Amino acid sequence: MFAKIKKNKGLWLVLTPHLLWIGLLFVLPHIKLFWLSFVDKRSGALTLANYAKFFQSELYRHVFVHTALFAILVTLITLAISFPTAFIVTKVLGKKMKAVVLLAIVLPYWISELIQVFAWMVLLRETGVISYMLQALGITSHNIEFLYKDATIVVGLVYTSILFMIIPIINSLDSLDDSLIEASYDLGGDFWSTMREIIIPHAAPGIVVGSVMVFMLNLGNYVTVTLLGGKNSLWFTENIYNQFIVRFNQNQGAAFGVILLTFSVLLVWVVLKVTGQDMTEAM
Amino acid sequence: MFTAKNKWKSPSYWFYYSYVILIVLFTAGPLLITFILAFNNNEAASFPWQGFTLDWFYSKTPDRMGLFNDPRMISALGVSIKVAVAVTILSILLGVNNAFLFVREKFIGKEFFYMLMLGPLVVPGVVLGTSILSFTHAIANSLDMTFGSGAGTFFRPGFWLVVLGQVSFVATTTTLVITARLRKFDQSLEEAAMDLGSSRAQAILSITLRFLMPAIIGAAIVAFLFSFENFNTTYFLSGTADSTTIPIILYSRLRFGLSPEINAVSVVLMISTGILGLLSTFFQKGDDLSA
Amino acid sequence: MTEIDVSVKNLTKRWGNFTAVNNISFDVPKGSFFSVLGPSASGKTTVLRMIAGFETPTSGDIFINGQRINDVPANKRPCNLVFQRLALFPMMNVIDNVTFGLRRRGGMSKAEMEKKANEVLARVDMKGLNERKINQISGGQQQRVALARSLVLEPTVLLLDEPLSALDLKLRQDMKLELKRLQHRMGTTFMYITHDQTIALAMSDTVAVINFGKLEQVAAPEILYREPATHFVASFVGENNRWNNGKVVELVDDNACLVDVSGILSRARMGEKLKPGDVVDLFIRPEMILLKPGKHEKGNIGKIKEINFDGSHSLVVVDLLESKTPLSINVKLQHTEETPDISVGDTVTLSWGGTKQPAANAFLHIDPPTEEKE
Repeated sequence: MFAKIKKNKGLWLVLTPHLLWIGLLFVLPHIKLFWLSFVDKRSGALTLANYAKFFQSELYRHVFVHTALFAILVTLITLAISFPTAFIVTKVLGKKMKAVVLLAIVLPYWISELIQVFAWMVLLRETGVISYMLQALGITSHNIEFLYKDATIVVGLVYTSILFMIIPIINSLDSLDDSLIEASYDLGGDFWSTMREIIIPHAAPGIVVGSVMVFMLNLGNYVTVTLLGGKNSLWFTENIYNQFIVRFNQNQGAAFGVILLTFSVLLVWVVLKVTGQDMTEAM
Repeated sequence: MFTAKNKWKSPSYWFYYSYVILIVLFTAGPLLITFILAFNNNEAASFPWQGFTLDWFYSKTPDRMGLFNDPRMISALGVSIKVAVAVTILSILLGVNNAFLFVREKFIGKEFFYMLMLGPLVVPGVVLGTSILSFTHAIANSLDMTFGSGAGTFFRPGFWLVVLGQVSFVATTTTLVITARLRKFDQSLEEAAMDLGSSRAQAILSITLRFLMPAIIGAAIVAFLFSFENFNTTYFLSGTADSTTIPIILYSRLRFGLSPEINAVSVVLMISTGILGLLSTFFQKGDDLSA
Repeated sequence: MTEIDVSVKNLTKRWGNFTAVNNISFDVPKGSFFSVLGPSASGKTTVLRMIAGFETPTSGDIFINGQRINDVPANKRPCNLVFQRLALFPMMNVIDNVTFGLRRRGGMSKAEMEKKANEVLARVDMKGLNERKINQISGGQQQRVALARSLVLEPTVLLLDEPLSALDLKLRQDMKLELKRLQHRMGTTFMYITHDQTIALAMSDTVAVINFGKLEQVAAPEILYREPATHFVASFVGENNRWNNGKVVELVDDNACLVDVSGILSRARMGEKLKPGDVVDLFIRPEMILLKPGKHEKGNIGKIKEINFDGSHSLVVVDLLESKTPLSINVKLQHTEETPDISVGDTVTLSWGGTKQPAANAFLHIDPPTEEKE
């Protein structure tokens, strides 16, 4: 009896700070956000108007679909670039080269996203480095503006996403015993069949985790899209920000937030279900 | 073939190498150019190269404001460091606490709580920021109403709200890192210490926490970096100058045009975060070796 | 002349200054069980991986069925490898693992492939588990699947990289016998890499011993055991008493000599060319020593120091009383109805080397001992 009480005391000792943190800084704020989204700004009465506004406005719907499609596109491009990189780093390079290349890929990502975006602005703006280079090489005779285009946003988002894709895939490929690849060759497999039947199935958890992370990051991105895309960026997070900061309409902003959150959680859930992966296991 | 030893004979090896070089150019190239341009004597923050200068770091003239003479930038740097230190300390305390909770304790709904703990990492930063903002806004309002105006100041956008907002997701990261390490700990070591006369608290302090130290240091560096570079959540929660961090001021400057002073800021950040990043990889490596 | 399946000529592999395989040549007869035996890091795995096509020889040639295959990629070679840790594909079930190679080869319907796979699985006693995932079957069953996966392709030679080493002792003993029977039944040439001499001696028709990348001896197991060709083989294969710093007194005939170790005279087979006065190391098989209780005229008088009981036999340590310097010897005593009753402290008489079988082998002295047994 005494031991049980003592044990419970220990549990409460560590459970209390945890509950304070997750409760006050995560659960309650989200409940509050959820609640606000169903409340009318003026009267304080319960309403669905905040959601109705989203579904009735063609502009909001368009921005939302645009954001979702681009987030998916960026995820796919990032995957296409990152998988070969992760494969080469883990399975082709020697130990020393692996460490060097990994460092060269990882180090840039310790720096703030703002600096990363700034670096691309330096390259891409009208008087930027690439425009200058093209003129210096005689390819064009006038300044070219590369900023504020959809393609620019894609490049910027791919850039800020690569690491979050590469690392999970490297982790899963690292655990692939090289002898499995050799066994496939030994039994008559070639590059593509080995890739299809052995390597990609083994890397699947890393691919899924990386894709989910990159998708979520892009969906919620604000800095990269607003700086590289300017007024043309049409990213849904801008709407949330505008409602909260510019129009002081918490309720509308909350509804947008809930929509964004619901969509992303739903999509991730579907992806995990379809691919049969477990997010908690991979993290 | 993929084996390390005979690959250089195959032509695909050259394809592999060129690919990796391209990727490294893509990831490191833009930052390298930004780095170089910080020392270019050219107002445009671009090429052509017009000679080496340290003006963007030290100049005092108004048209060429050097980073170290720009009071707003210096103030933001100080705020960023203060915020990051506070966030790091709180997140490490929470991380250690949560690690013990999830590794050592048994309670109903543990799986659920573990999933919930991952939430702040998954929710978009904008949503996290706005939800905390609206929640604390309501608290501040009711405090003001009950105890008179000013009572809820703590919960208004400002230094402490930024700290709390960042802790909400940084603590998830520290929890993951420290939990992973604690799982590797052989609890019989603690029992051995107690068998040799330590109290439980002494055993945890002298044996367990020491074992966790590499993970704690590694997690602290990561927490510091996460806090230092956070924008999305911070943006909603910062108000006055005492909560204007480097990313916030950079964002507002970048919206109005580029100046080589930002290249200089980039250089300082690249070097300092680079060192911290290297340190954290070093500690994580030490973690693997001793485990 | 017997047909040769695998032939290796002057095979060498270097990595920088390190020579992993040093000018090795041997032939593997068709249908035989051929083992490559060597301590770890002796280069035996490198030899195997060069035959399988996963390493490129620095120089030398590899022939399978008389065809030079140096430039044939691994996936086109008529040999298959059973990996040390099996390398079964965890993302597939048993039957998909076994049909993997057939699918790569193509030209067969799915039903034909499965029929063929099932035949081979039946041969290795793996029926009815086709749908199981690899992690749902036991270690012994995994061995069988790995064998079936390679054998279904009917390779000219099956290469095995110590696949039994992961099993526990009892299972290893069982699989050892089964592997031998399977090889006999299928008639496929097996090339087995191992550091475990009990496996190599028990299963093989021929054993090649490798040390530090060099081929020490290629011979049938009995020859390897009784007539080691080199100092290393004598010390590595089987248990042996080793006495250092003996001296050749005289040559008895072309093959044998008389060796003096600290005043104890032994008749020994000459492992290499020796002449009177050479300093040699003497290896004496503990089971070839005849032990009689009490003092006898012929032989060496000794006193029992220890008796270590080990089931079917005992290992008896005897101090020799007539040597000039302290000298002891291990005697392996089979337990039969005629085994004498002895106990520690008893005086006994030992003799060896007088009979038809060589009990002792002499090699020029090498200092210090070259190899620790694994």
